[in-house]
Amino acid sequence: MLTVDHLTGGYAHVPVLHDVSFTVPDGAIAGLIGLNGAGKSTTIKHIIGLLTPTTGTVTVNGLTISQDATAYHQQIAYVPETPVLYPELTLKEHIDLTISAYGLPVKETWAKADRLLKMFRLDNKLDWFPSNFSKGMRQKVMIVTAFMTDAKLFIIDEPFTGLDPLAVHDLLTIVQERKAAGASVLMSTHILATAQQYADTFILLNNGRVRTTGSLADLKKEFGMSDANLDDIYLAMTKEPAAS
Amino acid sequence: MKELWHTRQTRHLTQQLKYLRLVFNDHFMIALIFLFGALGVSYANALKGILTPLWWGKPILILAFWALLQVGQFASLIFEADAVFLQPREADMGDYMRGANGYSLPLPLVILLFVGALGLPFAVQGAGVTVMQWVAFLIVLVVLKAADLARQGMALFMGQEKRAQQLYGLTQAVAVVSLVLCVYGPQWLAAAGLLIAAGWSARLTSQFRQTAATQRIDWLTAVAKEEKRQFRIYRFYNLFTDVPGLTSSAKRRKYLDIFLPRVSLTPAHTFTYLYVRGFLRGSEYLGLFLRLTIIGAVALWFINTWWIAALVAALFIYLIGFQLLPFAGQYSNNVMTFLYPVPAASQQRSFGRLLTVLLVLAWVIFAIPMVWQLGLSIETAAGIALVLVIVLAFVYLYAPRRIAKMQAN
Repeated sequence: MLTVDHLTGGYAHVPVLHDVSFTVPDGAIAGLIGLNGAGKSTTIKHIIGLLTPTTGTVTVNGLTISQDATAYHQQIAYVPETPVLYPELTLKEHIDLTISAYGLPVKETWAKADRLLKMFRLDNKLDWFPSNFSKGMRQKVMIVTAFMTDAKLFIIDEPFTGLDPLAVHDLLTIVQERKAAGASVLMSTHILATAQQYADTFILLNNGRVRTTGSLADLKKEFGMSDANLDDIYLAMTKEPAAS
Repeated sequence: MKELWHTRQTRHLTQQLKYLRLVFNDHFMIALIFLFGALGVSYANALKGILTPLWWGKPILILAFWALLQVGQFASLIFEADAVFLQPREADMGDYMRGANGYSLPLPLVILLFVGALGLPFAVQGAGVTVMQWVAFLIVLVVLKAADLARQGMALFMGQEKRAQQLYGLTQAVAVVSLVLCVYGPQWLAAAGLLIAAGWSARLTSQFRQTAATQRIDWLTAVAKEEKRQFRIYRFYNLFTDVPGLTSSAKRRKYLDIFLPRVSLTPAHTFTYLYVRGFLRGSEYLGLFLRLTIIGAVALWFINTWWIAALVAALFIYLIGFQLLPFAGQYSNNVMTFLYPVPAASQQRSFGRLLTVLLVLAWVIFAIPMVWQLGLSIETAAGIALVLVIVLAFVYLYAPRRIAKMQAN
């Protein structure tokens, strides 16, 4: 379970987030929704520990990063918006390195990885340097290395841009598997139709503040739009005057 | 457009100054002073041994300075974004490029004249060149460099690349002919050499001006060339400090896989796994290690005083180690590395181990020419032991502090 509690923060002297609070329970997929610049990426940077909050806390299953950074990171798997790969490592070595870093059992993890590699049609490219792959394929490598771990919290930043439709479908399948196994998933995206279909709860960010959280039914009630979809609610939110 | 050039130039120079301050840091300066001192003494000693001009003196001078003439590229300071944003002002780019041409000349000029001044004693003593001839030789070099830069500038315009390539061959031929005329035969022939070089340079410069005034810039070529040029510069700076945004390319080098340590896939060995592969397949550190180790070993082959040998070996150990230090932070910009549940101390240990293995390897390689040249004796052993002490001091005392300082910046 991920708990963000009264988080205020941002870059050195530029506060971006103001009093952000939300939770992602075990076995749930949460959609982090907001305009460009609303604070989605900043929120994610705080959760993975790249930024330190000015006030407030981020806990993953009761643990903060300042208590034990190693144990904290052990629980998290992250798929960044832009793929980050080592130019000197082959695809196979990326998987070995991830096994090594997370201290995973070699044989069982390779079995998991093999399945994912086949799924994303990467299984014949094990000896290649993935940093030379296309954006979509590099994205798939990031997905494979994240989902072969046994993390309890998966953070996926804009997963759908650059992936082909088949890969989007496969990604959603494995996300749901992890959800069924009890993991929490936080997914930031602009593809609202997909988010509406797969996410259990939504966190609507606007100008660095949480506008509202809840299921689609909760959002409909909140905005007084009974037969609206996520698109309509999102547009309604952006037209509201900015709270300061 | 002239204004745009000037703002670009100022910004570029400020940035170069910032990096050069980091390159010529105090430690590096001390090492350089020692190196130049040692080279200066052996140069002076070698000159004393030459009584009559050597038969190969003139050819080697022509060859060396002809090679030096290739140093220095046309700095256009063009960015990728220019192809989009400057497109509407394309007709005015001639002014900009003339500014770039003027800016590109001073640095190679200073290098040519500096090395030329260093070469004077050898030219007079070793090759039998008169001072007047040498002055003409250097003027020819400067004039030809200007011609070469104008040619390079021309190549950045549409449809000019092929012509620039043909002109390259001609420029080299003119260079060799006029340099030969400067040092061979009676002194008045040097004037002929000067005349040929000046004529060629004037022709290329006017061609460049005409091209710049009438032709469109070949954006793809210009951007690619400038990026390559800047990449080379920043790769050099990256040896001393962390240059943001510099990504180096990697080669598979499968034949080096035998050097990969068979480590277990556990968090304690994660960074060893990463660093060793990065070192063996990356584009810079392996080459740097081999270059410095070979140069050091060759230098030691010529030294027959045990304490000077020890000093030179220690200096090379320091140089190698120092240049390898930025590799510690190679992956610090990678968010995945940050996320690994591996304690930071384990990363430092992994780098320390790699550094130790490499410096001990260099030490063993240096010991071979030392024993060969000095013979087995107490002094030789003392010298070699002294170098080992430097290795250990570097790895355990100096490196951790220096790395911490580099990462704090």
